[in-house]
Amino acid sequence: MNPKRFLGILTLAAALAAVFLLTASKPSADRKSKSATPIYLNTSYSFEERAADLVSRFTLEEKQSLLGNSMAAVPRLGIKAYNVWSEALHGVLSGANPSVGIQGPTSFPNSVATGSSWDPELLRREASMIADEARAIFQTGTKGLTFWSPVVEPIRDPRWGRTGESFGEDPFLSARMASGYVRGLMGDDPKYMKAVPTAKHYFANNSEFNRHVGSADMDSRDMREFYLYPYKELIENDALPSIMTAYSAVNHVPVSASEFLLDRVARRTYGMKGYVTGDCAAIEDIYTGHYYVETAEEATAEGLTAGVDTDCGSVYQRYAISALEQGLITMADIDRALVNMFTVRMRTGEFDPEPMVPYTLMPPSTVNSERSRALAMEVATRTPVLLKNENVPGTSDKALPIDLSKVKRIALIGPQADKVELGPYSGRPEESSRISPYKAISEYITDKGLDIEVTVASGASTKSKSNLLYIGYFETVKADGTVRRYDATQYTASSEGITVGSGMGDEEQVRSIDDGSWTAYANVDLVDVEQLTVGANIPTEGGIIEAHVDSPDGNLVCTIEATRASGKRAGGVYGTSTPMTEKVLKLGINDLRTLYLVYKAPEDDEIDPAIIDDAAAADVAVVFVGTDENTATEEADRLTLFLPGNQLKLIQAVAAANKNTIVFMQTLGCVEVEEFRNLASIPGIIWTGYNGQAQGTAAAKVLFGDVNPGGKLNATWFKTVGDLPHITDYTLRGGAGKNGRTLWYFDKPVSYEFGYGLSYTTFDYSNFRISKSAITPDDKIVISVDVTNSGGVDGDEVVQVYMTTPDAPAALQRPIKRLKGFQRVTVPAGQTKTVDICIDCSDLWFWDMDADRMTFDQGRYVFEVGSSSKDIRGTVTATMSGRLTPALKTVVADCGRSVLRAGETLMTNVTACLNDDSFISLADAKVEYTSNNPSVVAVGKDGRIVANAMGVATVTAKVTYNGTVASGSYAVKVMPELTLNSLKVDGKSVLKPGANQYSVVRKAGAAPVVTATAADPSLDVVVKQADAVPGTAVIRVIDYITGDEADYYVGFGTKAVSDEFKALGKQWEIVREDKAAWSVQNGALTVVTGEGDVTLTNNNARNIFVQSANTDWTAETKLSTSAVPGNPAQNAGLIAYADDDNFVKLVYAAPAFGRGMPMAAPGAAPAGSIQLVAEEGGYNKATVSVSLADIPVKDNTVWLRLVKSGSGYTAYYSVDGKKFTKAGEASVLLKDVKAGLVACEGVRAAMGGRGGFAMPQAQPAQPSPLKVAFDWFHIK
Amino acid sequence: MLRPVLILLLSLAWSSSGPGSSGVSENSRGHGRPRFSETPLLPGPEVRGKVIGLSFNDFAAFGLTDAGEIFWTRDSVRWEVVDFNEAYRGYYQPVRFVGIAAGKGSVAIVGTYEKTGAPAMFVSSRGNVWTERGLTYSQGEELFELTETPLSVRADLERDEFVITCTDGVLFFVPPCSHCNRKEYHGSD
Repeated sequence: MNPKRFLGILTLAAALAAVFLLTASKPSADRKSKSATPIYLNTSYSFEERAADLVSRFTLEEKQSLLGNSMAAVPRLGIKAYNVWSEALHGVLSGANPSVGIQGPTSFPNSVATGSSWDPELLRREASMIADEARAIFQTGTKGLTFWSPVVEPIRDPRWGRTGESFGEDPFLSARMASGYVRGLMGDDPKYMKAVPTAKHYFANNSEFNRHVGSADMDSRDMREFYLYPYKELIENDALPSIMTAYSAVNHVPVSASEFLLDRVARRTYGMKGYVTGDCAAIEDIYTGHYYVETAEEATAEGLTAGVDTDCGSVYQRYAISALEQGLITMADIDRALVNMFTVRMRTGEFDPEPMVPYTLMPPSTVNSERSRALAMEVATRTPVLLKNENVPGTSDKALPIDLSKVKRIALIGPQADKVELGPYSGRPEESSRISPYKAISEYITDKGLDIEVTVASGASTKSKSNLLYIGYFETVKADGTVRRYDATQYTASSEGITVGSGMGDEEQVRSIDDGSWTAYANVDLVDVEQLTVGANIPTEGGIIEAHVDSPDGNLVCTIEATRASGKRAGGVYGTSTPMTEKVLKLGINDLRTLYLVYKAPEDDEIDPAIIDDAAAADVAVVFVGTDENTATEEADRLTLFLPGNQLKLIQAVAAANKNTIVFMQTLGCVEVEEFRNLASIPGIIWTGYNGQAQGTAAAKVLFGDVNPGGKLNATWFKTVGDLPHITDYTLRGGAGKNGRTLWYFDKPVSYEFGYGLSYTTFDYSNFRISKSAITPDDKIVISVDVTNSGGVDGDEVVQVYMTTPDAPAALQRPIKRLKGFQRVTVPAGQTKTVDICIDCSDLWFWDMDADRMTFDQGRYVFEVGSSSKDIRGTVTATMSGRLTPALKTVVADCGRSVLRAGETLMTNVTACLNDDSFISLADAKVEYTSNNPSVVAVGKDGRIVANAMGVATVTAKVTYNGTVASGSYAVKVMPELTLNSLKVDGKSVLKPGANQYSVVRKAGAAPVVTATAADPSLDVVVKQADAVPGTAVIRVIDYITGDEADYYVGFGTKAVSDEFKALGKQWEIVREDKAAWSVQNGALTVVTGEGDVTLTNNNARNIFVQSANTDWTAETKLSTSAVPGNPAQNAGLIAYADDDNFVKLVYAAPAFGRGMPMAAPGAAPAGSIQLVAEEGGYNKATVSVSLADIPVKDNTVWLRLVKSGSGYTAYYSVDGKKFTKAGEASVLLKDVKAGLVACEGVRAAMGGRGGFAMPQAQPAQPSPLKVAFDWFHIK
Repeated sequence: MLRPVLILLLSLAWSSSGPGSSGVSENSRGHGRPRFSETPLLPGPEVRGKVIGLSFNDFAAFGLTDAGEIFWTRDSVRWEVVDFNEAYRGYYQPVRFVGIAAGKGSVAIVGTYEKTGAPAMFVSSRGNVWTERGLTYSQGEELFELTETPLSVRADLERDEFVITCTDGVLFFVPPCSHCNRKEYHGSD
């Protein structure tokens, strides 16, 4: 044959072999189940069962790609891409999408505004409308249905940059308002959710500047009573299906890494069923912000094991597989997260036929419909709070409502007069829907046909005087061109309040820069410096940077105007520094000095006198002022509570010019008002939060009396920011020179108290009563009051009920009062309405830090009923006695995995929590387990489950305690067994159920052909044929979905040959031969033991005599040793050998020491042992040791017998050659087995070595080598 | 996928054993030199498009063709290929891709949707499964979508983010955090 052609044929053969191997490694991605409908699409199964089935079908890479908020499409399973992250705080966060017929979604009043409505039912209607719009948008395939709203964080500190997103400072109010939102968004279908709310940010994430690195430190009272309260209420009462973990830590553990807070509290105490998302980059913050762990894989593990199911970011999606490979997580951790996520997706009906889901028929016209716009307007009219309504000086007329019959000219002044400020997390409604106050008032007057002139002028700015700049570095440039850079964050001194951080950006910067703040840098070389460059980021408007020497007031050497107004680029809160350069006044400085960078807000613009003249000429001047995105936002808290910019000056200037000045504020929360609120020339003040797209119309209606404002403040308005503790102080109770926080603990005078709000009418309260005067925590009571509208116009009143426990010991530091009930009622003029407020006494709990559960003060409970937290109109009292009757509340059951393999068994883990948030011991309860599909998963009385067959099942644990019953359940998917359906050798079946190794005796030569099929058609089978006889065919059953594999061996062997050792037979092969250490003489094979063994990593035993024995056999030998085998581990005997890491050996050996093994008695004759040792893949699989201490061994002679049947090995020994005793068994899958003899010194097992051999407890003297004589070797 | 491997190997086999083959070609002056086809070649990916991008990370070497095929190898011998638009037909809108970049733990491809011309970006950890990455960014408190057309993408390993170069002098930064995309203008004016 032509050599070249021969080479070509060889190449072709190699290619064919490559095809075989490559085929084996490629997943059969298109394999489909033959059943009609896969379980995950079968609506007769529960959502959780379906989710477990679906998750079991994903490959590992698919699973990883589904762990982030952008969930990949998986076409082979019909799974669409999905973005978990959508927002709908006060309207769907989206804009118009004309390509799919969607207009800009409706923008309702923001949370800070709706919180002041004190109307949960109104918020429920709003959220329901938002969800309708969300459904219409979802139908276009452009957005998901999981919304990371509402914010339920109580406003612990009004400087918090996201105060505008919160419902209020009181947990009870926040919980009730959020309840309306949650119920509205979810809808009331018993099976499907209209949209999915996520309460955030769990929890105590109440300061922006340090949210990625800070820790909210608190005791368990503040934690349970204040911060966690809204979540508890929403989960327990409204089945809240999701929470979002905050960036920050609580008590120095990142919340995203806290199994206690996520699993123990949220799931097992409160009972949350649903999914947990991290805030965007919260998982990343675990290792880059908090440095809680070091690597991305560790952060992934912390998040997943704590219970964060999805990562808004890409840490999970990049590192979950490597975390798995590193053993930091298990597949069960990944599966659990995905089951939680897909269960929620299924609850929206995404995987069900559209006719089954009631929410699928929302047409695009639902968005920005007339109904929706009308509701936005209605909500906007119910949020304004009337803060002041005095007589216009010199008249007997109230300032409000404005009597248009007496007005010829209205001046609208202020930066919000002709602006629509929607606030944070706003979508982009249609321009035509955005109504400014000027537009609305003008239209109102025109519609009424009134001859009134309306003028409008801004007159002021909202430029913030805080958070002016972020400074990264500064550079000095000398005359000779030398540049030296200084890290601005490495200041040697600073003014109070300065912080350092990078926020969501990469660059560390000086932050929290207020007007007048400074940072100092010692030993700055200013010799011959001509220029100064400062790397500054302008988050909003910017400021002036003055460089002084020696002190903040020292010589000024340089001024840099770092403002947008001067043309500098604004970087936003995430931006990096931009260099800004100015010349330096040398001033004869020729040495190292301390350089001070002093930061100043730009000078306010002067108020235009023409505007003041216009105000003076008007019959009424309405000043529209407020806050906006430049005041505070994500990453940026307020540093001051003043109105931003020169708005205060504007108010004062207008008030000085016009005695009938109305101030209309729209802000994110409380502002300081002491400078103007008592001015007589300001007889009227109205406040709203960011009031949505219809804010202008609502303002007009309120100003002119179409609507009687009925809102109440949802937070305390402090007189000054100085009343507040440091923003990083998360404790609530005051003391040690520090004020307490919120209406609970702040006891100083305020501008306006929590719950404050006036009306155009007046309300009288009378006839206070309580349904029970002796109460227990188990009771439900009703507090009733008659409310009379004693004024001239219809109006709404919010009746508020506050609770105190005056008999509580002072040391307990109970709150001054807590809100525990409220109701907003409409009372027509002149009428009286009875208001009944139901209070569940179990809600009046405090937290017992020692007992770690709820507790109830005994004695008097005083219920204050009033129009605000200070305007108490009457009280009723009850006396509390007794404890809350224990009742089961939350039972959680799981087995730790969602996907099992047939044949596996696991225990069910159950926790049971009572209504006082404490856990019981299950030993004190009765627990009954059931499975809804025992043929798939059976469960025993002890909770042990057995996976029987492929399918899904739900296991339920029903707990009975103290006469109360609660259940918890979990779904499990059982994967098909990796078993064979057929196994043939040359077409003849050899299959034996349960066997994984087969033996076939053949003559040496070509190997028979093996064929096999798997029991389940979804599995793949790969057969690697034996090369020859002797040889082994390997059959591998592969589940490409789970990655599980099972191997089956068919060993082809020739008959092994016995040896009487008259001479060494040719059938022997000697591993690591040492010729000097063995011989055949006197009818025996004699081996002198040498150093080494084959156990664990010690693969160095010499003179191992082996012969091919790749079948089933029984091998025996008689051996005699020159002495009792001694330490460290002399041993000699039979071996079934594949290689040094895969073998079974049965030996007469030195005594084995360690736990459970008898020590030799002092002075007693040494005794050996019989040991059976098995290794597979280098790891110890079995060790059996039988001491011969009580068995006389004559002449150190023993008989050993090793029986191989498939993968099973049974060991026997005898001391007389007649009676054999079983020593033990092992099961090891060995390929190309050889049988033979071994004799070696052995090695002492190392500490921590793999396999776990018994450890010798003494260091005996080194014995002489053994001389081992094998009399014969029989094998059949 | 294996067909071209076979074809290549077969062609190698046959080319080395063709009739009259001596393995040496003769130039016009009779001087022999080895044939180019005898130089051992590693098989490449079976792709129909022209390669327009290559990038490497710890996991694999990735490439992109103008037909929207992403290919990669971990050993230069075995190649995986995903025809993106074919694999995701009906699940993602067809995309015309322009660039590929391999970063820390993921690889990104960018382009524009064929139907709308809007920018598109997808990421994958290992090449088989692709996730759409939203290209929204914040300005003030409003969210916007990137509208400029991507021209290329690179991975900034130090900052652990992708940087998309777009028309109109726009650089679009895509860090791991989903809502932290940044748009910066670096035009000449």
